[in-house]
Parts: sequence; C-alpha cells; structure tokens
Amino acid sequence: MLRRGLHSSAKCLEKTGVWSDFSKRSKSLGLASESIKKYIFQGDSDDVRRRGPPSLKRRMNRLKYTSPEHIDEMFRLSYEFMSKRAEEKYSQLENETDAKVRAKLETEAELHNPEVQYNFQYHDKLENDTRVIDYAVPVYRRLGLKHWESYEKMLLMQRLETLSVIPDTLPTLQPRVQVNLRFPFSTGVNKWVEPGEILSSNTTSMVPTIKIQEYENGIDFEKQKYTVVIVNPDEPDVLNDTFKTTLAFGLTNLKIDYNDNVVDPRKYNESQILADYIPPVPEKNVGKQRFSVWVFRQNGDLESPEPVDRENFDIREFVRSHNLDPVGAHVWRSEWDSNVANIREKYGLPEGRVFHRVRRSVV
Amino acid sequence: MLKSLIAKRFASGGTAYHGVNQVSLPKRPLRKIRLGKARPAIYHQFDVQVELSDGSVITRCSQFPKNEIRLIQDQRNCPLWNQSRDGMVMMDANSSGRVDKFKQKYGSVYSMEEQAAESTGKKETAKKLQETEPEPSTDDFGMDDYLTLLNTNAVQVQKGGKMATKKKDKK
Amino acid sequence: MSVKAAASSIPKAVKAGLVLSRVPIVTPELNALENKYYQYQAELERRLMWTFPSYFYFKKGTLAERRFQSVQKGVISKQPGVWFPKGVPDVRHNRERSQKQDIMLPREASEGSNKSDVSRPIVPNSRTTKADENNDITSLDRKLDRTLHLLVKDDKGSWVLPSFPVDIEAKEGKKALHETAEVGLRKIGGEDINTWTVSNTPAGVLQSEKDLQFLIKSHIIAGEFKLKDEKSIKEFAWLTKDEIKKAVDERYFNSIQYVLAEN
Repeated sequence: MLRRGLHSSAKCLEKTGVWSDFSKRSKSLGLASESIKKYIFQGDSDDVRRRGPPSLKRRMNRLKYTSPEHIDEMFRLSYEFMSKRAEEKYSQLENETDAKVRAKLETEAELHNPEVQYNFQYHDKLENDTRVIDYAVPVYRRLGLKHWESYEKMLLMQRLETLSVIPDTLPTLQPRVQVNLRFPFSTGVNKWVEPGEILSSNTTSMVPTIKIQEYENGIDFEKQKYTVVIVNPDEPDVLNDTFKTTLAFGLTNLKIDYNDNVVDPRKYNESQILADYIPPVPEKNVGKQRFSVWVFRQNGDLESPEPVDRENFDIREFVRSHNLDPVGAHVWRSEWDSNVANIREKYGLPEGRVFHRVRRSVV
Repeated sequence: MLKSLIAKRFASGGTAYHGVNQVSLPKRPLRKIRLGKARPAIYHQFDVQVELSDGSVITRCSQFPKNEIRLIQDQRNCPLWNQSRDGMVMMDANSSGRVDKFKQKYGSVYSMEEQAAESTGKKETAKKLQETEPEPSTDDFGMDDYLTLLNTNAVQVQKGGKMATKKKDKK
Repeated sequence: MSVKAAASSIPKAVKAGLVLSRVPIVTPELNALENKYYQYQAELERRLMWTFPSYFYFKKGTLAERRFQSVQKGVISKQPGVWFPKGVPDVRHNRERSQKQDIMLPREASEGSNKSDVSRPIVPNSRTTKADENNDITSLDRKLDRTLHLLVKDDKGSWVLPSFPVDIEAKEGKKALHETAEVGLRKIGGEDINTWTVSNTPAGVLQSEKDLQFLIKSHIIAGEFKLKDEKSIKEFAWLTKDEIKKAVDERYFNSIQYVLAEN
C-alpha cells in the first residue's frame, strides 16, 4: 500500500494548532506520555507503525495489531477541524469578561481535545494525579461532573431513597458535590464505600476520611467553608417506643479545594470538631442502623458552636439555625456483631442492651 | 383393507414411521450465541453502480454479487412519471443479453421450435376472439400434441389437474 | 386596531412572486473531511461485514461459480511448521477472520460488441457540464449538485425574483395567486415549461411602499426557460443561493433568503 511520506510536509500534527501551545494553558491538558503522543499523531510514519501501539504490553500483540484503514488521515483532518474551532473559542475568550461565560468557553474549547479525553478516560478519576486530571481546570470538572452524573450520583440518590435516609434525616437532597467515604485507619484497606453498604463494626471502628469533590465553577475556596455531619437515625428510644437520631461525628469550618479535598484528621484541628467520632455500636436485634453522612456549604463562618445534644440530635433544626446548604450525602449501614462489645470497651461506652427479636408483620 | 391402505402410503417399507415424508429440509439446530457475543447482522454488501434507462448512474449497496447493473424498465422509462418526455422506446428484456448473444452465435439448434414458435405466434394473434379450445401446446422437442397421433374421434380424459389427491391425515 | 388601520390605508398593488427552483440532479459535493469520514466508516463496516455466502449465489459445479472463483484471491490457511509473524491465520468458510473480506467480482468482459450491449461497462458522465465550464448562467445544466433559482432583471436593472401583477378589481377571470404565477411564467418564458407548484399558500411575502408581493414556490421539472422578447425583462439567470447573495442587494436578499434552498 502506498503511503506518502507525511513527515515531509511542514509541521508535525501535534505541534500545529492551539492545543499544542502550553504557554497559557495548563500542562494537564496534554498527554504526559511521549510514546503515546507520537503514536497517535504520527501514526502514519513507518517507524511508528512498525513498533505498534505503546498501550499494548506484549511485543507479539503489538506486531499483530493492524489499525483500521484511513484512520491516520481521518484523525489528521478531524484534529485540524476541531482545533480550528477551539482557536475560535480562545479568540472569543480574550475579549470576554463575564466569569460564567469565560468558564463555559474554556470548557468548550478543550472538550474535544483528544488529549484531554484520553487523560480523563484512562486515568484514575477518584484519586486523581493532578498532573494528569486537574479538577482546577474547568474542562476536567465538566468531564468529572458528567461521569458522576452518569452513574454514581444516580446510585447515591437511589440508595438514599430506598433506605429512606432522605425523608428521615433531611427532607430531600439536590446533590451538587460528590461525597466519597473511606475507612483507611481501621482496616488499612484502600476501599471506597458504596452508598448503603453494610460495614462490619471493625471497619467502622476508627474515624473515616471523606472526599468532597466540587464540580461547580466560580467557588471561592478562601471563603467557602464546609460542615460534615454523620447522623444515625435508628437509635432506639425505648421510653417513647420510637427511634431517635444521634450524632456520630461532626466537623465544621472545613476548607477544601478542587483537588485537595480529602478530609482526614490531618486536615482539621480541635476547634473544628463539633463532635468526635463515636463508632457505630449497634445493639443486638435492633436491626441495621443507617449512618448518613451529610456535607453542607456554610453561609459564612460557624461561631464556636454551643455544645450539641448528641443523643437527641435534630438535624433539621441544626441546618436551619446555622443556615447550612446541604450539597452532598453518603450512607452506610451497621449491624450488631460479636466485635461491638470490644469497641464499646475501647471507647469507654456503656454496655449495650439486648432487644427481643421482633417478628415483622409488615415486610 | 386398512392395512393395504397403510401399506400403500408408507411405501418405504419397514423403516417407515409417521412423518417420514417430510415437506422441507429439517433445520439445523441453531448455534448458541454466548452472552455478550451477539453481533449485529451486517450482511456482506457490494457497491453497485446502477444505470437507469435514461443513462443516469446511481451508486448503492446490495448483497447481490454484481458490480454494475443496467436497468431497462424503471421510473425514467415510465410515461406516467415522465409526462414531458415523448417517444420512449420500450426495450425487449431478452434482446442483447447473454442468452441472445448465444442464439445469435449458434443460431438455434431447435430451429424447428423457432419456426413453430413463430407460426403459433401468428396463430394466436388471429385467434384472439376464439378461446375455449385448448391450443396445441408445443413440447420441448418441438412436437405437437400427442392427440394428433390418435384418431379424430379420440376423446380426452381429464388432462391434468387433481388426478391423485393426497388425503391428509386426520390429526 | 391595526386591522382598522390596514383597512383604511391606501390599497397596495398585489403581485404574485415566483420562486422557481431546479432541484439538484447529482449528489452534493463533499469536502475533504466529509469524504474521508464516509470512507473511514465504510471501511470499518467492511471489516465487520459477515462472510459472503458464495454457496448461496454460486452453486457448486456451475460455470458462474468457476468464473467467480477464478477471479478470487486465495486465502492462506495455517500450516504446521510455518511461522506466521502477524499471527496464525484463522480461516472459516474460506475467509480470514482477522481482516476484511475482499471479494473480486468478475468483469463482464465483452471486447467485441461494445456499443449497445447490456453488459458493457458503466461509465458515468462527468459531474461538471459544458455550461459549468462556460459559466453560462442562463443554462439549467450548470451546477448539477446545487439548487438553482430563477432570477430576472427588472427595468431598474436589479436582479429580482419574477413577479406578476394580480388583478383584484376584475369581476370575471379573476385568478388565484398560484395561477397568476404559473400563467405569468409561461408568458415570459415560453410554453415549454413543466412546473409543479408546491402549494397555493404563499411561502413568503415582500412588502414595499406600493407593492405587496406573495411568493409562490414551485419547481421546474422539465423544459427550458426561453426568454420571450419583452420590454420589461431583459435578462434572466439560474443562480444558486450564494450567487444570488452576491448579485442581489442586501435588503432584498435578507427578505428572500429563507425562501431559497440552501444546497
């Protein structure tokens, strides 16, 4: 098959156009790996083609691989077309002053950049490497938002509703912030908790870390502060023959960033602790207790809070009085197991009651 | 009497069982398509250039293995769809095809048939008003009906039709 | 209130304007990106196509099958002891599964009688005609892939869509808008025109101080516009939308642009 030597034509594809200029753009908007970049942009030169795609590890597979026909020419034409459109957006951006329109133009200009799409698709989104996926850049925020909305946000809302966290704690939620939960200290396992997961008492014995991922544009992180509250609405109240809500964990006046947003004990000091972490210690035959994590945006600073009643915590009153805006949530469940007694001992909590097993007439 | 009937029907002998006279070929058991391995039906297609009767060429995809097709009767040829065009020539389907080329090269081996065909053609045009009598059908060998061999007072028994109807099983 | 005002104003002369278009005869021209895109997608489809069922179209032992197989390129099957650098061939039903199936179709080679043979090779005409080369704007054969619209030059020397006055006052022989347009076209362009009017409802309206022009859309199906010697119209032209934009003044184009076909 005849292939004209395209290296003879003036510039390489990756050096032409607005997407090759990194003087005013973040480095994260380009491909980090040189070999991959070369393979994609110079796919029609003989030595690159001979070596095969760098993402295949085995040399045998690399030799066996054949690209679809006309893909190099097609990529070249499409890249030139797309980068021209991006150039127009950048030229519009120079004269634009309105912040919202600027953010929109910035995302649109980079959205169709193949390097950006590659970076987002093939690298870790949750524990992102800032050099590759930088959530401070508007386009990655938009991609992250779409990715979250496509599955995890819906999953969270489903779990909150099915487990009735939504009417039982706060009335409802419009999630704008992605909340992820992990118990790294107790288990040593780097596992992110799925909403609604039933965790053992051992897993939840030590304080969790919460990742608060913001996707909205135009947030001033100097001023914006967050409150995190973990609430258990299934604590049995025997006197009133009902359940009451207890406060398991509370933090206020937290400061985060688009990238630096994992809230663990390193991030806050004594003054920010509303209530220290009391691990879930469910009593026998009480059933599964839901522990719902609520993340709020504060409207201003929270004054040194008056001591909160942990045993009868009215979360709605709390939100109203402090003028908080619920933006994200998470939930896990805990059951009684044989280890709960040890945890009670460790934390100096009183011994748990044992309830009768109740046969549920209504499922 | 029943036995004789049964014997008549299943002439295949001892190995007969009900349903042995099959109407169509049995279907092969379909190949099992594993979960996730189902592929859409993309039949093999060729890019065909179709020339319509007025000379315009259309490119389309078709499963039939032919690269170029020439149409002699289509919308461009139809007077209903081409009001302004007069004097459209109707082309004969058989002329200038491969069969016709063969005939031109070698004439017709069955030259008798050619002549017979011509004569019957003329007869038909003259006899348009008369019908009822069945026309002398020409055999492959260009011979007329066998009836002509017989005497003039020969009467035809039932010529065709349902001579032996199969009685369907009451099931 | 506005209706009363309209009723009391000076009646304008009503005209039937004609938007006569010749639809494209050949498929539209594609730019380099579009061409390459369709080529690429076609190649992808060809790679994914099922194996050609030659057992169905060419029965064993026939001459057609022999002709077909003689033109085919053979397929390399795997053999023990042979090293295949690109991987061991995976052949099913005479088809290499890792690549697209390339089928050569036999050419109906008939060198002899080529003139009016049904099996002669199909040679399409060129997409650009003589009218394109000469840039003859009065010809209907120009720009076969675009829509052409009829424009005439009025007394002031500006290019406009042809329009014909409608007689509102007449008691008898009063014609509807579309009829006026059709009759008027035949008057200025000769009888040899076959048109199809899209609708009796006007597609647009052009308002000026003394004129009220309702545009009737129609397509020319057959025939030719032969300018009859008339004092009112000196020239006519068949132009595409972008050529109309250049020829016609801006205000007029802005008022008619949505009635003209883009392609």
